[in-house]
Amino acid sequence: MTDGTDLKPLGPVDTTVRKAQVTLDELWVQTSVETRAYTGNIIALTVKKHLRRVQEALAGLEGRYAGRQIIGVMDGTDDLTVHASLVPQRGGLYVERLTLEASAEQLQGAILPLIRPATVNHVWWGADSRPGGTLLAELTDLADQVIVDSLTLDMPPSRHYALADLGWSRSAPWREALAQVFDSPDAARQLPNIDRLVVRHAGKKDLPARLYAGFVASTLGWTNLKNVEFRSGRCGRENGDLCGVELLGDGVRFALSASGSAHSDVVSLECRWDGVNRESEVPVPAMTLADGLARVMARPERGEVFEHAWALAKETL
Amino acid sequence: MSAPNKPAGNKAASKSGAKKAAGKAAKTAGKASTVKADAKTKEKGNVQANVETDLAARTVGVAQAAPAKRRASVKTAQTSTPRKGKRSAAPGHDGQNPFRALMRRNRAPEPATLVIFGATGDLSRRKLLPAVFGLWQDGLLGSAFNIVGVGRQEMTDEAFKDYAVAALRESKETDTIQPGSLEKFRDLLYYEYGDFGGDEVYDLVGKELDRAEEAHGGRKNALFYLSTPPSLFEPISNGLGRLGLADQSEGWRRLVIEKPFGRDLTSARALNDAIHRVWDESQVYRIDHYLGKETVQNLMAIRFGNAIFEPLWNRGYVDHVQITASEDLGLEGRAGYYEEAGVVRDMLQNHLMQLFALTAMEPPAAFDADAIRDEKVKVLRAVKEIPSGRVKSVAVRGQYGPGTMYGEKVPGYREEPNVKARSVTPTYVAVKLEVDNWRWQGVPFFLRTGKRLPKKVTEIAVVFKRPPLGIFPGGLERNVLAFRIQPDEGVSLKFSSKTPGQEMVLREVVMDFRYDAFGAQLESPYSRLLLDAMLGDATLFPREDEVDLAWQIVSGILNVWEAEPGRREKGPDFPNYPSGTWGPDEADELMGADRRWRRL
Repeated sequence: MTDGTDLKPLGPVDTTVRKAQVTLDELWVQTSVETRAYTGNIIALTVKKHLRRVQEALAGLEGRYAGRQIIGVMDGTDDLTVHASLVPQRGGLYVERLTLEASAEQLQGAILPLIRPATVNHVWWGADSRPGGTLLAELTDLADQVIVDSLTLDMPPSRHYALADLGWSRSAPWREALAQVFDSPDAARQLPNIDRLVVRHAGKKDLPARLYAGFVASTLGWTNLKNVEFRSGRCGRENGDLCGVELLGDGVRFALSASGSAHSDVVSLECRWDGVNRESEVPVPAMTLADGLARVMARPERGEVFEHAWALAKETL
Repeated sequence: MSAPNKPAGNKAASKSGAKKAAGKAAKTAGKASTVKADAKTKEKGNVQANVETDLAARTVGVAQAAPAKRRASVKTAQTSTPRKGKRSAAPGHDGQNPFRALMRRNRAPEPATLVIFGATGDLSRRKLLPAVFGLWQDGLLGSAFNIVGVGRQEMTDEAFKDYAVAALRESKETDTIQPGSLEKFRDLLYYEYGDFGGDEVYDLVGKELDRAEEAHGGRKNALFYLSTPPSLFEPISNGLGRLGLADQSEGWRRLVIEKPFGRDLTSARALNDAIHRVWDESQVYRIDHYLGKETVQNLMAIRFGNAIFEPLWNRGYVDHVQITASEDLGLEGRAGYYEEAGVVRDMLQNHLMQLFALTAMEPPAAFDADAIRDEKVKVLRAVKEIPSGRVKSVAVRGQYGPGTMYGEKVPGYREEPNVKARSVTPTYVAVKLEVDNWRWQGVPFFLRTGKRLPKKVTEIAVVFKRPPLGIFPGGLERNVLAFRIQPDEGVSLKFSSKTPGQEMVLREVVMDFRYDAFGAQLESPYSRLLLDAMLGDATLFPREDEVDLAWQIVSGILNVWEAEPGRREKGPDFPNYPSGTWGPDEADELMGADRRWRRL
């Protein structure tokens, strides 16, 4: 991410849609940087109250994911404002950022000409309202990937583009940790004995936990989440992050538990069956919003795995 | 001996930072971005790629490969509740990990022990331990992993732990250490010592594997890394064999060997025979760290991941190929080794031959170990032999004399500490390889490498033929596609373009892709190769027959240049190039008329 750069941002500079490229070029001249990463566009659609968070998340995103960031603030007026800036990255690089504020209708005509052509387009719906309208329709036509909170917004996976869910993405270290538990063949052989699942999550937001449970259940061949229990609690992690998972069956228990320390990226692992009793620790780093974005933008998850998890999770809501 | 009561629990914990982990996850995910290029990624393509990755994973014998019918089981998951009485068909019943098959990182090493022979040596301290630590900190080695250092030097576990931690703090290759990470890593380290010619030390290593099995279950998987002088390869291999540690009935066992793999064709074959008396070839991983470099792998990505280059990659369009690996350093205190090895063994027989093979080989049927190594072997076999009579016309040697580097005076080779005053060890070689196959007939490959050249640079340059007809004023230039392996990693394409103005005047311009545009640090080649060895993926490790053929190619050169003094042809008067220059003039003549080495 952008840690370790001493460079200062350049801009923001007031500009217009027509002059935006020229303005960016003028900012580039000030950098004396030869390398420009034309790796793609990320178009973040948000509202004023979430703008700061979106900006912070995008500032933590390296240029290799998207060399141009276009932020569309949808609850502005019909008087379109455009600001251009260069956001510094590690290694002396910059990414381009254009921030537009207008009504959703105005944004449609403003964003499309600003998209750098012939690269990957990511569209991130960073707002609470349900996505819709002409703006999103136009953008999803161009999008290679649409990033949303899919359960909250009730946006099912689509075949037109790759749907990515940040809650799903940010629980990836927990999925990887669970996979590590069963990398030992003797542990994997106990999976047919598992018939219950407990997923613990931090705070009240349980949607990522439901997607996670959907993932475990579908992998084990379960048809629903009736044997899954969700528990809210505190473990020093962000609201919505997981705190632990237990896979249970007759005489069998596998448990991953966050320690409760706000700064610990390590969770404890316990495995018990047939006289076997193993304890160890595995890394499950908490992912920031930028980490989650970077992960989905680097390579979308396998659609079918997410879709199966999504379908089971959706049934529980 | 080491402490008798070792902790049973393996606290393989990490505290890698979230940002770092995310970045690494993205890096391992394939670096899908491109620069100034179309990189559209569609879901359909991803699924297909993942299917292919699964297949490749199974082919290379990854520890936890995807269960064969996993995809079908996922799609039919709607038909059953938690399975009672269906154990024989339930996911996991066969010991395969159904979760792993669905992971982005669908290859993960089984619980294993890394046993480093020569653990207190220079290579281990500077490269191996930092590489292992980086992998572990990134969570790539799983929850059940430990390291056993083995040496001849008496040392307790605690002393070794201190040694390793100090090495990690000092090495420039160590990743940023996350808070608490080093302390956890320290817990994974153990040490055994003894005489490599006896049995006791191997018995102790065996006990370490027993202890690891007890601590974290699974099988007694072990990767034996021989980071020792070559003279110890055979005794250690034999010792491991005598004590049954090469036997795979209780878990996989793999042997990693560092170069040099022999000092000539005869000794290389003898070493291979000795190794194969104990190990099957599939258990042997010969490390050539050049193959672990991202930009070397990028050569394959560019060649076989794009449709536009391969049609030009042949005698119809290519005039010649230049492969350069220049070093600005001198001996750096390694006179003992270098006086024996010389530049041919140190660089040409291994690193440059691998770069050559990757450049010249045919497209492999798949990106897997056997397919790629088969193609490399085929092209090495097609190289025109260099018997004694041809050496003079296709190979040039040199030895650096005093000169200046970066504005400072430096001594010549013969003035370096511990070098013989009249040493004839070459520090520079340029060679012309000709490939007798349909693709490359008549296209020479020029390879050069040397010490005390003006700068450190490794590059592969494909120089294309001139256009058949010049319709514009001025001369016609050749297009060049250059792969910069290090530094400034990237790819550039040189072509002619009209210059602004009323006249139709052309000049050469360069379109440049720099790897640093990805904004990501390049991984250490050792970390990639270690992880691959743990996974059982031998794609980036030279196979026995590759090494043998590479020795065959350079044998004639060695025979002529190292003949007994009475039978030796008169060679050049050493030193024949000053430090800080691009080598002897004869190397320019080797290129022939109308060609010249690239100015790097």
